[in-house]
Amino acid sequence: MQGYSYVIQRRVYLFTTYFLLLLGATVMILPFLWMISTAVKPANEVLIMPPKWIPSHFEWSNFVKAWNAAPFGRYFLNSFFIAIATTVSEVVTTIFAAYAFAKMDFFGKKPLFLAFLGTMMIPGEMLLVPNFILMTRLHWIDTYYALIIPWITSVFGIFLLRQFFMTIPDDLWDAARIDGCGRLRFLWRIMVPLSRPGITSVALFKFIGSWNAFLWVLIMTNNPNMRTVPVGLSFFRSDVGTDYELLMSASFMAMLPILILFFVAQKQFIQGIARSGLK
Amino acid sequence: MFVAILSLLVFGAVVTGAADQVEITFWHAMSSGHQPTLQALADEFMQAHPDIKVTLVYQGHYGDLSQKLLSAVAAGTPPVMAQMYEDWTMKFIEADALVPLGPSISQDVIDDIPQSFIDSNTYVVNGEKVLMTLPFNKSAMVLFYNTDLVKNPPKTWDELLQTAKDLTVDSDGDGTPDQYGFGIRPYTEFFINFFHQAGGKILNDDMTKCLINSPEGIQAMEYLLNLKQYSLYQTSYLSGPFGNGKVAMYIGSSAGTPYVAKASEGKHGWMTAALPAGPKNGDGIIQGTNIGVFQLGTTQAQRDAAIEFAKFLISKEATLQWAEETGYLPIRKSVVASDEWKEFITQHPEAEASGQMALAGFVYPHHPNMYNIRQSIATAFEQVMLGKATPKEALDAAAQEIDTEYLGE
Repeated sequence: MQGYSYVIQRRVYLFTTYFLLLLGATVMILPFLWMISTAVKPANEVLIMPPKWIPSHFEWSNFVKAWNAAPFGRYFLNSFFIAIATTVSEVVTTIFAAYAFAKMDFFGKKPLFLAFLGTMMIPGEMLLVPNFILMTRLHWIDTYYALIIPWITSVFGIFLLRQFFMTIPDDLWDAARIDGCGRLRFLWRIMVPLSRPGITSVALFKFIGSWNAFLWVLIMTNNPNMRTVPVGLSFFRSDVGTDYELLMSASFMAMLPILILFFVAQKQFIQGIARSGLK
Repeated sequence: MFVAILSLLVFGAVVTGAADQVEITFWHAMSSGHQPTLQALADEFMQAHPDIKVTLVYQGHYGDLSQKLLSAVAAGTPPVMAQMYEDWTMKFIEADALVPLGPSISQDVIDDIPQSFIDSNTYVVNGEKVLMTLPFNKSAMVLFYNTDLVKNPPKTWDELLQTAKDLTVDSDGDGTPDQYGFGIRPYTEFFINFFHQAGGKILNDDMTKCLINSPEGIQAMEYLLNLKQYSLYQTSYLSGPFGNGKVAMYIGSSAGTPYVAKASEGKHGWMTAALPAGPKNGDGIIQGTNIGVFQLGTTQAQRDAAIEFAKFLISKEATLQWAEETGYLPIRKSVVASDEWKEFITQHPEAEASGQMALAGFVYPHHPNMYNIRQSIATAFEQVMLGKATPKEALDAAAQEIDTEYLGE
């Protein structure tokens, strides 16, 4: 009898859990569905209230129009190149820095780490003008240097990985040292494989951030050949209205790589966030 | 691998120009709808001037463009010419970054431009009034109305209120109208338009005191509060609900015409009309940017070429083409009166009202803090519309804030 009521309780619990998850998922996915449906709508069905989820006919030409409105081929190439370059370099630099902050003792470690964290408190918009002047003096305007070099590391990434590295016991280092392992070898052969979820998170955050970066790219470039996908997306909005159907078909194309990346790395990504103590 | 891609991209990005050409860059914020026309005008100009190469650079929306221009002026590397709003222009004048364009423009051209456009491009520099920039993509406020519902567009405030009342319908009786006679979006220019038509002035002549809480201000605010009973009130664009037939009329920028056309297509007829006149006048506020030429970081040859291009953009032929293809205003009186324009509005009757409003326009006073002053007024307008303050309370508070925060020396 008791077992029976336990089964009922368990079922109610599971039902409630899945129901809440489903509710959350529905709320999250609605904007995506609206985007996909708007991407194939004729222009006069975009803003109908209540929304028309299934268009009266599918306007596939929206994709062609959006693609031809700006040099999107070039933009995608640039976006990929910049995102991959900044992601790879950030992963390398943050691994070294996080290891030093987590596992090594050196003079001024604490104040230096605090200073690092302090830089996170300055809003990026405030730094825009000084950074622009710096890039101008370096003659980096309209070059890949301006779009990549300032972004090859990130304090947030260092902080996230440091938290990860700190959970790995020091006994491993002691054992490795007895076996004649040096610091570098230990870092790459032991720490890095153990911290894969954290490193994946850092890489994903960076890739998405770089892929979505708008203002920096716009300010640092004048040549259309140097620009990226988000700059192309801004082309469909104006101060008096927005071409939603074109904006949404272009956004859909722009989002595909990120979606694919997320599905491929989803497991690592969730683990990386859950295990680093960050919510 | 990276090196290979990088070198490929860098080589791809190299653009070589002919040695004897002067190259000028023009930074603008004209997105997908209007850029092709701007490019066509630049191409026409380059055909007539083979020694000049005009490079148009899209720099995002107005907010992005302003940030980019301010950064570039601070770094000493602005473009040769750019679109600019009046309050940014004042900052550039302060930095001594602009070439005054007035001396290059003949008097008969200046006389052919509506006075309000000349006013908005004239600045006090070293105690003298100087025409610094030239009007370019100007838009006026017009009344959009659904022709299936409105036979005769209202000509006065009273008629507007009555028509809005008649067209507000609650067909299912749930207390919320299913169709509104009018639409209100709470932005500064909308209120200022009514305020001006009531005879109000935002600032006194020497710009030391804000007059927004004058009897005219309260009259305009009370009228709008009355009108709100028959209006859909929302912060987003009204072209959507107008297209869906939820709103029968609204007042908006003529530059929004293509969006109204798109939203209404296949649903109902629509048209534009001159604004319903207030107690004192029927003027409408003129919005949109002007063209400025930079002396900072440019050569004399570039400045001369840029002035030549600016003169071309305000020429009769160019302004006619620009107005016909984009929905912005023709900025020459002779163009509004020309046979070509009349021919065009027989084909496109919706453009007639903006031509009329171009001749009855007014502009904001030039004050370096105009952006913040506009924000204060918008806040007051919104508070009244949401019933959080009476017209007098909200306007008094706004006037006091503007006096102490933005007009003090």
